[in-house]
Amino acid sequence: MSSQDNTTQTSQNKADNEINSKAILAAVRSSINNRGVVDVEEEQVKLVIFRAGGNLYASYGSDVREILPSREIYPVPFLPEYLPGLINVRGDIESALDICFFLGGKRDVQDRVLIMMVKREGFSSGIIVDNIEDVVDIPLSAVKPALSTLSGAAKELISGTIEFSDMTVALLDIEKLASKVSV
Amino acid sequence: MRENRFNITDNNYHVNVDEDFFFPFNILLFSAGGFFFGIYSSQVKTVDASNYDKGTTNRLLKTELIISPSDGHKYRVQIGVIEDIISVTKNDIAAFPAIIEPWAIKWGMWAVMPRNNRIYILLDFKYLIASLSEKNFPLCNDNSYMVDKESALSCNDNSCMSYKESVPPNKKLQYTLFNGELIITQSDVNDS
Repeated sequence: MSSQDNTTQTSQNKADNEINSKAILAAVRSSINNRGVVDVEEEQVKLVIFRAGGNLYASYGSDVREILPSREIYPVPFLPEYLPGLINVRGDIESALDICFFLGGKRDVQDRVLIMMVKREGFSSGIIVDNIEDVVDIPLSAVKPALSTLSGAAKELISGTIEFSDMTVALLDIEKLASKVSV
Repeated sequence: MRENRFNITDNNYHVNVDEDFFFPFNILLFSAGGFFFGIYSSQVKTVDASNYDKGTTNRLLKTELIISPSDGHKYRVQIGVIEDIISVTKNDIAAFPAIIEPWAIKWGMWAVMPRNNRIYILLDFKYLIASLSEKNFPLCNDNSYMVDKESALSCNDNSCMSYKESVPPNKKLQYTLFNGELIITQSDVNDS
């Protein structure tokens, strides 16, 4: 190979490298830009993470009206087991729902209980909870489909799962709960 | 005149009335089976507290009401303790929450009244007795219907699984309600 050939080859490699570097840099920039766009535009959802009957659940924040300090439940005769009775919310009488009846877990029988008030369209009720773990904003894409292994009432009432503190948390569907308990 | 539509029962019984037409009215407050109730005092004909034993802690089944819920019969109702008779306005009472109302109305429980850190359940004996008459409950030899699960489980009568259809229509009937603390007996004979 002549020295002229060597020089031509070196120039070609140099040009290739230059082109590649530019392409790679462009790709990196594009990736960063695209990532930025996704982060900004991806829809976020607010979720309330709570515990009921010892199990963790999540519910859309838009369905949760308020968390009430612990209060007494006033029983009403002849109600189904999932309806322990009535609660007084600043003079308004609301129902209290025990989701453990549908989803399992064991609720401690106490004189006073913590209540999460939920509201969805025409449905309004208190849900008895052990405690509120957290309120988080997560990307909508982080809500995964419900486990296919769910059965019975859980299959009806759980609409998805999320990851929270390295745990899989079932997403309680308030609309489906409303349908379930409405006579 | 402003009208309001009340859906009183699940039998499509509707009435159009003036909102203020019924108010105020008097209700009698009492306790039975750990629950607090209010009933129209107009449905109560006689209150007999002579058997009420103040000297013991057993306050059950000591007060008796004779009620006449406009169905042509009179009934003896044994309750726990009478607490008060009060006048109520429409601001004092509230409807049951929507998911509870269908269950409550089946048993004559038509509204609630928050009062003194309690929630009183307003009972209409007319609908309660009508509802009881329509239902089939386990029956004992003494024609006592065991309406609540606890009473049925604690009943020693082996015939408790027979049903209402076997009762001769002219016999007195007895319903045991609310943890056995409220007993309703049809009692048309010389009770007034």
